[in-house]
Amino acid sequence: MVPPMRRQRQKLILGGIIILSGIGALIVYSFNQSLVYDHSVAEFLADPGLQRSNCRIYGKVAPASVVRETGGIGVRFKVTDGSQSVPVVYAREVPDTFKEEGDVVVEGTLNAEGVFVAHNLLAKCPSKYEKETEAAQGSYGSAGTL
Amino acid sequence: MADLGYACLLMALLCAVWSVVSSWLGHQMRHSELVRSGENAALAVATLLGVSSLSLILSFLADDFSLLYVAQNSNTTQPAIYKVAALWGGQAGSLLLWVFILSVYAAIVVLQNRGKHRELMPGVTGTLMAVSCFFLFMLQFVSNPFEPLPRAALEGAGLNPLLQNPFMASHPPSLYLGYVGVAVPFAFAMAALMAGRLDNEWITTTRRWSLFAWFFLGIGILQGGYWAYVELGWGGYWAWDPVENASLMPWLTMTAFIHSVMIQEKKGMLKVWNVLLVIMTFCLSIFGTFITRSGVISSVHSFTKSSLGPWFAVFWVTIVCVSVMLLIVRLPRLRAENTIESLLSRESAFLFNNIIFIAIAFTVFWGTVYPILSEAIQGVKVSVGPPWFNQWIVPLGLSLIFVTGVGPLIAWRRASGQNLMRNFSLPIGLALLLGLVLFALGVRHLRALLSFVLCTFVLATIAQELWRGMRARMKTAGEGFIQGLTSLVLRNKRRYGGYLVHVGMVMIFVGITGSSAFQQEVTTHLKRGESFSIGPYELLFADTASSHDEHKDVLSATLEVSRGGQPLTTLHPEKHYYRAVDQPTTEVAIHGLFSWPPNFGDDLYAILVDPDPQGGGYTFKAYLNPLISWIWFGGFVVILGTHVAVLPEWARVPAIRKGAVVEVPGVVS
Repeated sequence: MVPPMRRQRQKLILGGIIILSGIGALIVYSFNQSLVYDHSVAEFLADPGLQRSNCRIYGKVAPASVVRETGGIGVRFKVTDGSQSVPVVYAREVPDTFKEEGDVVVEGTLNAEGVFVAHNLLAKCPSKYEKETEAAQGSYGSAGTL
Repeated sequence: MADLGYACLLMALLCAVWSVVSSWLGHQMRHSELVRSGENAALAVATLLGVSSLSLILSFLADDFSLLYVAQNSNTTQPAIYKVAALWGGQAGSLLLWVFILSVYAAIVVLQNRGKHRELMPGVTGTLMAVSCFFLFMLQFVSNPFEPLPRAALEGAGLNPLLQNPFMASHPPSLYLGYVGVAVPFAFAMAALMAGRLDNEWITTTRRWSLFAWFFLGIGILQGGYWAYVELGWGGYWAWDPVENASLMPWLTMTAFIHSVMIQEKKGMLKVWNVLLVIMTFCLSIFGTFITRSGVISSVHSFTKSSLGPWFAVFWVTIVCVSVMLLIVRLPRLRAENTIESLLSRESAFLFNNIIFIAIAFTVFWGTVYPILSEAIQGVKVSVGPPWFNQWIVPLGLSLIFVTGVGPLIAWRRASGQNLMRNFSLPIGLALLLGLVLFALGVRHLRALLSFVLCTFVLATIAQELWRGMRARMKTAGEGFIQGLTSLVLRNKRRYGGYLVHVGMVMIFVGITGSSAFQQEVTTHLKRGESFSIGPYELLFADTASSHDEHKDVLSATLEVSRGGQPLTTLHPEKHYYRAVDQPTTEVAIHGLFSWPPNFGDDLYAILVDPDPQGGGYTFKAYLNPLISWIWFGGFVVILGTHVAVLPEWARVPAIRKGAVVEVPGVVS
């Protein structure tokens, strides 16, 4: 009675492992397909390949560059790394956290006029929990030991 | 005040260390006095941490800005309720809350089991206190809530206005009750491994604890979703944000655990798997605490800067290594007593349920952790959007609904064709009928159709079960309709409570399906007197009003809503400009479940995006979220169902106590 039961069990465990690793492999594979890389403004400007495809740029909203579309929805602004910048147009409403000199990530493509047409815009939420945390760590002054 | 709090924290650490040592020694030397002493030390830890937390709360209420933590998270104008909630507004305070809850749980476990489970208790106390030691160590040396400022501040920075919302105040404690609650079944599992007592004792003893942790995790997740929905103004409730994912993962593995323990109790199978699940859940709960509290999300660079990160990493690896090693040592004693005989059986339905839950948890884990690791190791920032999550979670979720319908009804061991026909022909028929009706009505969204069909299938199986049980009782006991239903449910609370939870979950699925498949959005730029429409609703922008109070300026718009020409309600989306913070906040106006009259069908969700100073108009955005109320309503049903499932035995109706099969706790397999 015992051996067939054990064989059954082994089959079962094997089957489970195969199913799970199959699903796992598919998940990981599709993941690499849909991964979007974030680039700095300098990286973006230096690499013509990036300028032809969908990509994400992170930086800060350049001071005094935000222009709201009058009578409509959307903004034009420049995303900058401090020295270089890229003009961006975003045709949707911006989140509350979007402001000049704030952190921003835009996802989209460069058009023929050299303007980055964003279809997605993330403005970093400055406060969820991390603001306090970073401030606290600053004042503790003790770095990690690992 | 603060000195007392700090002193208590220090003493709590010493007591916790003693508790671990004496539990260990007591167990090794079979010395029951030492074991008792360890348990008493655990009680002392709870008391000390109670005093410590209370003194921090009092410092908040007294605006004691000589403490860094108080100055960071509160200010004099903050309402008292948010002064208390500021306790968990930052890192140090939330760690204190975490370990306080843990110590209270440990105390309850000790008091519950004074005369029972003497073999397991040293391991349980030791494990719970070892975990406490870690957190107390962090509070002592790394992130101290009683850290004084060199010079007392005159005014505090205050809690972020976004967090000053009743749901945001109750959401973290609720999540913590869940996160920490996982520690109890984990401690019992560890104790069982250490003592080599691997029967079902640890599982039956912790059944209510598991449900308790699962319940609060779930409620916390729902509250977070609701908060995001009413507060953040993007029309949705879930964004696959790492902080959200962190709370979802332990909930998923816990749900798998709650299901698979039934198989161990009934059939003596899946023993290794259950221990693994509880270890996984605890690791994910620590991971969740870490991820929300270490700043690792905002930027990986803050991980290396963060004093917390490396400690958590070490702690995490220790837990994994110790528990897995213990498990491997005890593997020979965890042999299954039965095996799965057929794919068409309840055992295998539960197994599929588990595989699906683990697959979902893995998907979420991968999507959450990969971007962090990529940045930390390769220095490359990557992101993966909600579409990727949805691509995987949707099919997995759909198969999960299917198994939810099949699992409770299919026969044990091997289902015969007759059994399948008897149990499933009606539900399948009804579900297909609904599918055809929806199709005829013009629904062409394939995934949504499939989801509604599967949800109907589950509801029909449950209704059929209830009907059959009730009819039997009405016949044999001669009871009426209502009485039959009540006594049926009370006779087997665990089972029918579970069904009720399934009904709630199905409603949540219906809500998710409706609101994600059929959401509509309109963005428009209007001047006063102009109107726009979305779905069946017509919105007229009537006027704006501005007001001020001591903290903020408020710009409020009046939108008159009508449906089919009939005036329905007035919505007031607002923009708040807090003077202390240089960013506006959006106040959403919703015509939904909690408005009057309540709206179950489709939420109308309106926001005032932006006044345009040059054009003289205002930008509005409106969402139509069909069936979204079902999510919140389903949440209430889940709450109700869980309560039914954990009702204690004495709640049986007296009439059926005689002759009823008493569930024996601690059935030895």
